[in-house]
Amino acid sequence: MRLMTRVYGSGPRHLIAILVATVLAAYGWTRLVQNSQAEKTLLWLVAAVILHDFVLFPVYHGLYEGARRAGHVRVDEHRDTRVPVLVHLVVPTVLSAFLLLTWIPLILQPGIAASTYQGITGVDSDAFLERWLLITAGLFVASALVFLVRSRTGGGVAAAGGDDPHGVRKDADAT
Amino acid sequence: MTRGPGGPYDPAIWRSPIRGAWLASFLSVGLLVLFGIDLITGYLSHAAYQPDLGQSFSGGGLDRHLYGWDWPTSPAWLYAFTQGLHITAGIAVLPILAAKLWAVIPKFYKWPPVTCIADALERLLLGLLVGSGILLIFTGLWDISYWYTFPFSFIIVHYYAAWIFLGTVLGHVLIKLPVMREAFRTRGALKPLREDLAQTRPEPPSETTSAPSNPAEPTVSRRGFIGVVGAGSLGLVLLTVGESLGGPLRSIALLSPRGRQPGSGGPNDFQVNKTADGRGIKAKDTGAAWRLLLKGPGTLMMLSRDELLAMPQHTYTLPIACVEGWSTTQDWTGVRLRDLAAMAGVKSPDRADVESLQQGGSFRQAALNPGQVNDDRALLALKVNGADLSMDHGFPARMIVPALPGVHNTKWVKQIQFSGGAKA
Repeated sequence: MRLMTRVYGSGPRHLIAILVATVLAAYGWTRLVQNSQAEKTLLWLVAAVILHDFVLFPVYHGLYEGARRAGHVRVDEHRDTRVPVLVHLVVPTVLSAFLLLTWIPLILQPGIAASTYQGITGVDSDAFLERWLLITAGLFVASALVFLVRSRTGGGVAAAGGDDPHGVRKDADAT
Repeated sequence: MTRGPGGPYDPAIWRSPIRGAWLASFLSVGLLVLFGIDLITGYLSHAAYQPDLGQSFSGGGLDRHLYGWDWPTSPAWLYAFTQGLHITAGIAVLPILAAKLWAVIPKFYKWPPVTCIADALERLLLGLLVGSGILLIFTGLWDISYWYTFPFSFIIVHYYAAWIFLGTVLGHVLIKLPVMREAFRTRGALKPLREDLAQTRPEPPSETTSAPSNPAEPTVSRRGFIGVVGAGSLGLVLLTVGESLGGPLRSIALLSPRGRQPGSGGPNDFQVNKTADGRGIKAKDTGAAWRLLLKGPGTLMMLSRDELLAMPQHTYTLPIACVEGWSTTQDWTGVRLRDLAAMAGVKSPDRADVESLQQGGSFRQAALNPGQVNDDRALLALKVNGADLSMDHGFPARMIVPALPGVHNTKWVKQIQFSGGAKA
């Protein structure tokens, strides 16, 4: 047991988990090789990780931090509403981004997507961009209304903002 | 600890106070439920395509051993249900996966990147897990949106990447279960959901979790964070699920490939998969000269549409359910496959091979299992909702079989070959 920890770095449970994963993944991989789909799949698999970790994450993280700092400029000494304003912008943005990410082919119709859609369904796909924009607008309006109600009644807004003394400090990442 | 190269490798820059074992574990429960549904319904869908009748596109492997059983015909909505669930869960999982990756991303950047053999293997496993998870979600989404931008066969890659995903998920769960159990034991499985912003405290920093060593003040509670993720998930479902449920609910599926009524009413106004134009079906091939080729062992017959209409007609209300998750239920009228088999001299049919007029395409033919051929409701349909089939719905005749994956309900039927015994 102690030898295993020294050589392998963890216990038998860890090794069993790795073996289970290896057996099933190796089956999938072997079948991909036999069907001549392995290289392309591996490429996409690696690309998926790189796109998330080194493109999508830095982009949304950067946008969020940018908005944080931009929001700070407008801070009112007597009534710090910075945080709730930010929250009320971030929430509809995030929800709208999820919709876009899911339905990019329908909304943006890259390349020949529109004609393929028409050929298969018999209907055009013009409506989707408009619908996504309307839903996004609706989310921002709803968020603004909730913000207005909260700031009128004082519920949470000032208190939440006042709780955050870190407006000036350089926060690389705080949510 | 070795000094890293800084940037994301400096643990002090990861400051969100809500990151940690509880958030990662709570999101994982959601992922396990949704991915679990997707794995089960995914393997069921593979079974529904009957790989043992040569319809899996990849052949070989474990197919013959795992799927050597016949997909049933009852309940008729079976495939509409399992596949609607598959697509709905797959759509709902995206926000939760994004949130989970956000919650654990500091762990991706650790220095040194690998400390021992176990660590190296686990990092490789995690890479495969994340990569195959994202690959499965997006190949699925792009397939149902008809954006065939991937340079590989969707069916083969989606199916076998699922094996890689299944293996790495099981491994990951086995390794991390103690962390999850510990997080729920020390922090309460649901307790952090009752904490508002003022009560939100960071978890103590730890080598094994993503709790920050240098936490900032919270700007959102864990409850708020999970609320937004859940709203994203639920919103996606609300804007999609109507295409699976059909009827008046279809009109609320505003952002989904099949949320619209194709025409302006009438008996043939329902979802089309592959138009006649798109598949190169010519009016001259489906006109008065069209004949159904009926084949049995040693028998070859040709039947005109009028001759088919003169046979006993039966009407059933049945769904067509697509692998893409949408379905639509209509009243179909036509001739029983069993009657056609008998005509071809096969009194107890155990297989039917159906071919379309369509020249190319992966699904220009389909095979039926014994239960499907012998079901009372399995029809060569000539009419829908009381009217002749439209060209887009397969005129002059199409297959309709309960619980069969939609694309196997061959349109523009050219020939049916029955095999089985000559005696009843």
